[in-house]
Amino acid sequence: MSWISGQPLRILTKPPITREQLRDYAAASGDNNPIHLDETFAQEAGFPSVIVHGMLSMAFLGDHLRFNFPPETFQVKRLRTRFKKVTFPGDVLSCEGRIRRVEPDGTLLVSLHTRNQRGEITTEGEAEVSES
Amino acid sequence: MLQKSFSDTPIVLRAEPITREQVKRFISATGSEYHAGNPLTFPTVWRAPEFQWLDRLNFDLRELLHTDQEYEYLAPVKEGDIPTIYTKIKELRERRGITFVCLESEVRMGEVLTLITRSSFVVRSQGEANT
Repeated sequence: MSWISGQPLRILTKPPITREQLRDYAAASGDNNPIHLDETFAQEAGFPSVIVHGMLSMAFLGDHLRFNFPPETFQVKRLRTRFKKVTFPGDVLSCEGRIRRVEPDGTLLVSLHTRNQRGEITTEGEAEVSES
Repeated sequence: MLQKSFSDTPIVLRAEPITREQVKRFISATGSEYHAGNPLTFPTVWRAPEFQWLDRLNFDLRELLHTDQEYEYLAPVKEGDIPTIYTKIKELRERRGITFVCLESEVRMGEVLTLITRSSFVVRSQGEANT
């Protein structure tokens, strides 16, 4: 398949994030920061409720990348994200992106982001992908 | 001087072998659908040395924000591999009352360097909510 700069990726929308998912993610990842699990702790930190692990949003972007660049055909060399805005339980994240540049050796530089149901970009990222 | 002494010596962790059950639990928790083997952010399970650094630095978890994360994939990782993680402070600075820290980890399977990760954090004042 040939790729061109600016080409959009297929969008991947994830189900609403639940508190149960945060507990499961904490157990699976080892990130048990109470700001993701304990309402009182999160409120003491200035948030209205517990907040979603940024790394869960990044996991969504990783899945989005694989949705567009299947592991059978593509190798991901690098994935980087910046967490821009807090995400709360109940939020729905859609993963979007585009081909930013095609390098002479065929490496694809990809821009990615998550957008919540209010249209706000919550996580921005970029990746380097090549055909394996 | 304190910052330099922190940055010189990595925290080293020899983790448990990667198991199918561990990967399945991560896939289930993240709702990953399009992976083959390990999802791209599976290496987050090896962040224990990062948490040890953050603890050593005495950061209040209520004021700590994870701002950036990067993975550089150098070799495949598979079930049964035994990771050893070397985590050091790449950068630690303070500006206008805000502390910035970047932790860099090398993940080796035996002698093979398979992954480099960089995690950046800021310690904010309350009311500057981000993530």
